[in-house]
Amino acid sequence: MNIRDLLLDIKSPQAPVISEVVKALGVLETAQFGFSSDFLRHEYEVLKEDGEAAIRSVNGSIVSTMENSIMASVQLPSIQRLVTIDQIIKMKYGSLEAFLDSKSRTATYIRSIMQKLAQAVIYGDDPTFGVSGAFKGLRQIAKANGQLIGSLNGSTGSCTSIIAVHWAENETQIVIPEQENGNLVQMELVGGGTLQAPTADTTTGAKNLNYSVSFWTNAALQCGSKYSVAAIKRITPNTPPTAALIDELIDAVKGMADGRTFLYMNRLGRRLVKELKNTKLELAPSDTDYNTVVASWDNIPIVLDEMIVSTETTALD
Amino acid sequence: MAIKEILDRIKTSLGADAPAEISALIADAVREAQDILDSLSAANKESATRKAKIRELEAELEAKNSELEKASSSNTKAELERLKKIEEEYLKRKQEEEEKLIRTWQEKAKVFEVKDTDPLYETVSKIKDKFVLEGDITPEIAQKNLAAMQLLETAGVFNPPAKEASGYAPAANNEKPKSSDYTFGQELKNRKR
Repeated sequence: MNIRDLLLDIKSPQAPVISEVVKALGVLETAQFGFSSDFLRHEYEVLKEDGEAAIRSVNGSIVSTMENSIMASVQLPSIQRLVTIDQIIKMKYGSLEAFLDSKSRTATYIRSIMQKLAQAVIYGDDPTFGVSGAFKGLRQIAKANGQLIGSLNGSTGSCTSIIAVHWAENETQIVIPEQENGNLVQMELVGGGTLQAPTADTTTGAKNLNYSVSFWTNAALQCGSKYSVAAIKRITPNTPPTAALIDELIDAVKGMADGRTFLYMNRLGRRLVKELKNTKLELAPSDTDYNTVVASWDNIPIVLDEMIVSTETTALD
Repeated sequence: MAIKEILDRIKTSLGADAPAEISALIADAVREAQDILDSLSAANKESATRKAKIRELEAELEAKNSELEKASSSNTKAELERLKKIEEEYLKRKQEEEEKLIRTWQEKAKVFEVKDTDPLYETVSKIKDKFVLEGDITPEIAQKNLAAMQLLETAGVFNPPAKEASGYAPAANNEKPKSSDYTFGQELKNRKR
């Protein structure tokens, strides 16, 4: 189930806030979510190939095939934000509770963490485009599985990717720990909410006077199949994707219009797909479909995600 | 032999020839003897009445002693102890109830300690004087205060002012705040409850 359904299912008080926040983070809005097997660690099966069946006649025999999977595990790192509140600001509000009792402030803190999670889901721990210390992202897994489609050769530093993902429960999903309080984003007052005086200048010994609140979530990406993710690399305005390439991309994840396959791209990617439509689409004069904005490809939803950059380099390939 | 008979035999022995003086003396002696006998008889009768009275009192004393002995038997002592314990328990419970009553009121009275920035401050200031808050709070005072407080609570005097309509259904009293209203500040407040 997606993040919204999962949080509603566990009656998380954060469900509507997070549902609203992820609307601008396409990958998180549409991804399959599940709970990790062991809180901050997740163990799962990776299917190398589906096993092969055969026909056996009466009194005939059959060749057995071994279960063709390996066990993998992934750690769930913390995606964290530490907020510092000056003593004077806290005085203005009267208490930390009052300071934090703001919907916009709450949404802002959650958004910053979700954005970082989305970035990690797409680019993983890539030193340039990803998040240091994170798990492996969709783009990295596509490369590792030989699922980078096409041979477009856009200039390094100005490329983008279109990523296809076939989410599947317990196979291709984002895993989170099952928290007792049902919250996806956790919160803790530093020092129990007491006034802190960290050193601001080691030379003069000057100190700040502030309160700190830590916000964090733990998550990781599980891709348990070679067919979980694929990507068209090195897309630029001069090297746009072709219709054949997009079809190939969908085939690479065995995608279908089952509500679990999605095409993720940024605004550049979507614009280029629209141009593709301009070039290839033939319509009768009475046909009004031409003005329809591209929202799906063969009924597979096209999802906008601004975490996909247009400055990708060949280092990702 | 009785004295009167002796005197009568002396009188008979003297016969009729005895001097008149002697006869008169004997007659006097007989009268005196009769008086003495009468007095003695009376005295004897009085003594018998007293003896009867003494026996009656002795019987009464014996009955009282018997009752006393019965009263001081072990069963009675045990019963007495049991009743004493019941009394102690009753007094202890009564004291606990009274202390609880006072504590409940003290807890309720915290509503009057709101800051002037609290939305309830104005309401609380108006009704504060109607309660006994200072001095020695006896159970009777606490009970009166609690009764008045219950009335105000039922009337919803201490309910926080309604927020602006959010478009969502209002949350039940004991329910978590609706998630649409979720803030980290609310989360902290809930943790302290």
